[in-house]
Amino acid sequence: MATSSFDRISNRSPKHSKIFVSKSLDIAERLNELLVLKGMTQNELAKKLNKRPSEISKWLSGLHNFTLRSIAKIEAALDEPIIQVVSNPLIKKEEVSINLTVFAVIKEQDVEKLGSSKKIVWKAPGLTMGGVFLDELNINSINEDVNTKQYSFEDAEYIELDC
Amino acid sequence: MRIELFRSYQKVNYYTLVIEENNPDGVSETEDFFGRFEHRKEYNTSLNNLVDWIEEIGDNRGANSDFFRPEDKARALPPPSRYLRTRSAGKLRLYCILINEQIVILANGDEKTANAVKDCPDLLPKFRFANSIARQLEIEELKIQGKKILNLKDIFLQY
Repeated sequence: MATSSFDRISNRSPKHSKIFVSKSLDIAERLNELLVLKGMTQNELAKKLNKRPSEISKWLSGLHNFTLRSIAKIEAALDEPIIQVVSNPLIKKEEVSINLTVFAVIKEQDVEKLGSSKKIVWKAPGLTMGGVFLDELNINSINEDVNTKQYSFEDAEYIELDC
Repeated sequence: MRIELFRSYQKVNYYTLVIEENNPDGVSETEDFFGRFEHRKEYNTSLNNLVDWIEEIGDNRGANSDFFRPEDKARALPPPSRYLRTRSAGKLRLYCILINEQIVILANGDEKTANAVKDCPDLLPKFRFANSIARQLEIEELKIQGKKILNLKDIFLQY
């Protein structure tokens, strides 16, 4: 059981209060970092934002409740991000290198277009491999048997040829 | 009067001051401050912010001087914030002395009831006290190792 006033206040302080303090200090530290990075003084930033220097000083001290619009204006003035939104953790964006052989159905009339370039940009909406969505497959070379009819993935769709 | 450890965190040790005269329970100046406002609901947000801030600085940030409000030789919490100022309960001041980024000595404080501290009858004595301690500590030689003051027993401060 907390025996001191300080500890009792700490225990009853709601989680969102702790998060608020942490985030506003994150922003204050990031602002300080950007000013150093840009070689900009507080006064220069104040001038750029049409604010009083004392207001910038308050931002840098932490515990300031920024509006999203204010953050946007500061990011624009400094041309650097201050906050970034966490992406949906259910969808992990990973760069994966996959070697695969794609069999494509090419319309006869398009075969002629291939010419000597033999470069195909293949867009395959809805195509998945191992549960991971594949937005686009860049195929730099094609099987020499391009003139041979082959079978495609059901969901893949031939979109364009870049010749 | 003695200095004693108040709370120790990962990055900062907070010390406090204990006036021994007429203080049989040895209540520190900082505990006195929090005790006086703990049960006043209108100060809940302000107190929460203050305590959360002390803990966040202590655990994760270090005592960067930018995070403290300058008050002559002393410093004050909370840091300058329009957010807190627009709330009626955002007028608490807890004075402290910043030794370095790892050591802060928390003193006492009160409510700021006017623009200038000289016009705040309850706060002014706390402001003067903190500055008196800050001036004395400029002369005293503190032996510091990391976030510890090693020679606490050799420091004599006057109230």
